[in-house]
Amino acid sequence: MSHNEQNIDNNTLSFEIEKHINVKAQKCYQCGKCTAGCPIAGEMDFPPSMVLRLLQTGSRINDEKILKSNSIWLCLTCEMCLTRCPMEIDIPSMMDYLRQKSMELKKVNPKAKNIIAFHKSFLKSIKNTGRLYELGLVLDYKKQSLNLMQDISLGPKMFSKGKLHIFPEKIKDRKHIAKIFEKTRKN
Amino acid sequence: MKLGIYPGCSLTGSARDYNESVFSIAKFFDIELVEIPDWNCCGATAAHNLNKELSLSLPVRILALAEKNG
Repeated sequence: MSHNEQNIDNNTLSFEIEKHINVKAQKCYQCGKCTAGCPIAGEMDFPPSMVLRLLQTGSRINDEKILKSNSIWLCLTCEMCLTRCPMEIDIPSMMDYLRQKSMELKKVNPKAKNIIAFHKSFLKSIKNTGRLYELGLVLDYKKQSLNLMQDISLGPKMFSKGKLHIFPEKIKDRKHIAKIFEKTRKN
Repeated sequence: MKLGIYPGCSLTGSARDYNESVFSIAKFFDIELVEIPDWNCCGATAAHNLNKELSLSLPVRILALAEKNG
């Protein structure tokens, strides 16, 4: 009998992940190859293999730990774990799902504040012009995060190599982009 | 040969070196690169981190434009 058949509690996070994105955490046999290859595992409170183990337990306390972890926000979605996984468990898609779930249930790790601020600044820029305006993104992120001096010395170097545009590029059909944002908006 | 190209937001900015490489290689192989008109940002990491539907919808607009322009 598989783990899934034994697991009769349908409200667990692992069940939900399987139902919505068809990623089966139960397939993991804890070889640890994902964690060994993860470039950011050292910074995470739970490395990827441990997130999978916590999911497998199906305990509410452990589900909560995952949603409140910084791991899900530090994940770069580089897909190294998926490439290395002998069971081909799509950890990156799972991380995407967990991030959105964590936001939805307002359980976001306090350390993720600036990461989310960056993503929000990024999307704001696209919403306004249709394309990313890098200088605008940097300024908006600094305003949100108050990390005013972060990476500031890179600015002049990039500018001198023509890698930073002063003005944003705007697409013509910005109404269309606004519509896409409106239709996919989350409450 | 004529090919449509979707450069993406950073190709003229922070990744302009890649842009220059792509265009010089295309020239070498006699490929004419045509930018997809009025393309938008694909949403990158920010979109798929915060909103899955948005991360699918933004690139779909670009694919639709590519199809429309042959």
